[in-house]
Amino acid sequence: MSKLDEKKLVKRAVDKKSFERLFGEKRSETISDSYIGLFAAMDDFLADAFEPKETLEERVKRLEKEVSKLKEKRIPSDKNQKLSEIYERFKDNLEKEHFGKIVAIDVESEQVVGVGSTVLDAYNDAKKKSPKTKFSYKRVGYSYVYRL
Amino acid sequence: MPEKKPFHEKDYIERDNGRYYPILNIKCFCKDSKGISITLTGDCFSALADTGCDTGIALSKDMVQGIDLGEKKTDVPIEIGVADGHIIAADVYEVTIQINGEKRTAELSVIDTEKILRLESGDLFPCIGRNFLDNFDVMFKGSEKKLVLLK
Repeated sequence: MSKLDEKKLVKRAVDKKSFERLFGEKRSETISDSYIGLFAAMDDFLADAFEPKETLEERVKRLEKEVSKLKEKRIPSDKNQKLSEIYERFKDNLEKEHFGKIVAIDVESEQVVGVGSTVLDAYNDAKKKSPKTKFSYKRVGYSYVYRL
Repeated sequence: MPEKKPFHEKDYIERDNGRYYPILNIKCFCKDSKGISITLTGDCFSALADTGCDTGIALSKDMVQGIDLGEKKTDVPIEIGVADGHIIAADVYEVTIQINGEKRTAELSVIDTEKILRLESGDLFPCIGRNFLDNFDVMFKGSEKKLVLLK
């Protein structure tokens, strides 16, 4: 902001006496003029502060991108979906025999290969039956493996 | 039955304006992909002993950035339910945890903070859950603001 602008803004924002004190300029301005000036200055300030820096089109495009990113995060991967399908297939039997336990599932062979109280227990059980080194896990009867 | 003796006592720590929490200093070792044992985050780090949480030790991904944790046990990240209703994702590794000289094998759940929709990674304080605490007899002396582990 230039000094001239600053002077104008102060002139509009403060009363006559204060302005004269600040800039030594004598003007015949009434108190109501000063208030009108003050409100006008506030109006300009708010308009500047909230003026959109992007057009409506740009804003829509940006928000659409953000929404699609969030959607990508929420869409389960193929493996996740397959894991859920395999679990659903064995669900009834598992819930009868191992409710609350954690099961290790081999997504490739589509088999439940290990059961345990923890992921490591289920992993160690699964290792006895499968040569694989990684498995997927579900807690029987729950939508999550652990609570935090 | 032989009487169990306490091997570690820790006063609750004050955080958040006068609220006290059972926070333990732990050392965490893991075997990297070459089988070499390394400490996880320097010498020791603090973790909240939380009986409402049933993970082994849970921490955020950024805390172990650049550390070779060895082979993960999870093909697809496990789902962890947070108290506020969110489901977050974590990979599981096998680690050794040491408290006051006592070592135990534990599960390390590395939480992918990018998949938490509301929490910021800095908001996530590491916690030790039931899966690890159940290795010991644990006494929360609430009035003395003290946590005692017995073996």
